[in-house]
Amino acid sequence: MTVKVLFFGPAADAAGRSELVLEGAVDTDELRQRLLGLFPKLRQLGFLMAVNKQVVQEKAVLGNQDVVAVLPPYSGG
Amino acid sequence: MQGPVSPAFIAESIAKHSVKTNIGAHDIFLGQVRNDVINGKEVKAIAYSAYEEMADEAVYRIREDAFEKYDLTCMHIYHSLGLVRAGEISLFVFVSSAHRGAAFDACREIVERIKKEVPVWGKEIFEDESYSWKQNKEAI
Repeated sequence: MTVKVLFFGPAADAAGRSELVLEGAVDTDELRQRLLGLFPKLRQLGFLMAVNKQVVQEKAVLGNQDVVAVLPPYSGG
Repeated sequence: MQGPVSPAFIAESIAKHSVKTNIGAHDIFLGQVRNDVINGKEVKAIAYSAYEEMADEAVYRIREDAFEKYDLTCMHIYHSLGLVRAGEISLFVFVSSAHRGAAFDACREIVERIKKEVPVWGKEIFEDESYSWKQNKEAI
């Protein structure tokens, strides 16, 4: 099972990339821990995750080919 | 839209509404890039990026909610992507109604929701080309 992770704004800086394909993450909590392990700079940033463009506030189960966005605090306007 | 919102574009948008004679009130919010000084360095521009598909959906939801809640004739929302220099316009919200109350209230609510709910990020670029990521304040 693979998920595609998209990094935006300062999260793309912290991860040094704008996307990544990861295997085996079963839910968003586990994915978050793996991302923090891979990219420690994400820790200072704080971020929400959106699964297939829906922001998830609590743990969400991931499916194959899901697209997960790493969303640091917005700063538009 | 790519780059700044030009004053000519705003003027043209206003002019286009002259045929809608049921409108009695427009309220317009313009967000302008400010030359904040951060750690002694002055912001000369903001480069905006977005999760565009999600941003489009968020703006759509904000529009739908505003039409449902307020008695509006029409509404236009434009946010810049890419580089906008200090002094240029990066956000244009244009709300029209028969009477001023709905236009005022809706415009404020729409702007606040854009700031909170639309996945856009501003990278503040300084004179020496270094940058920091913008942090939005609560409404003040």
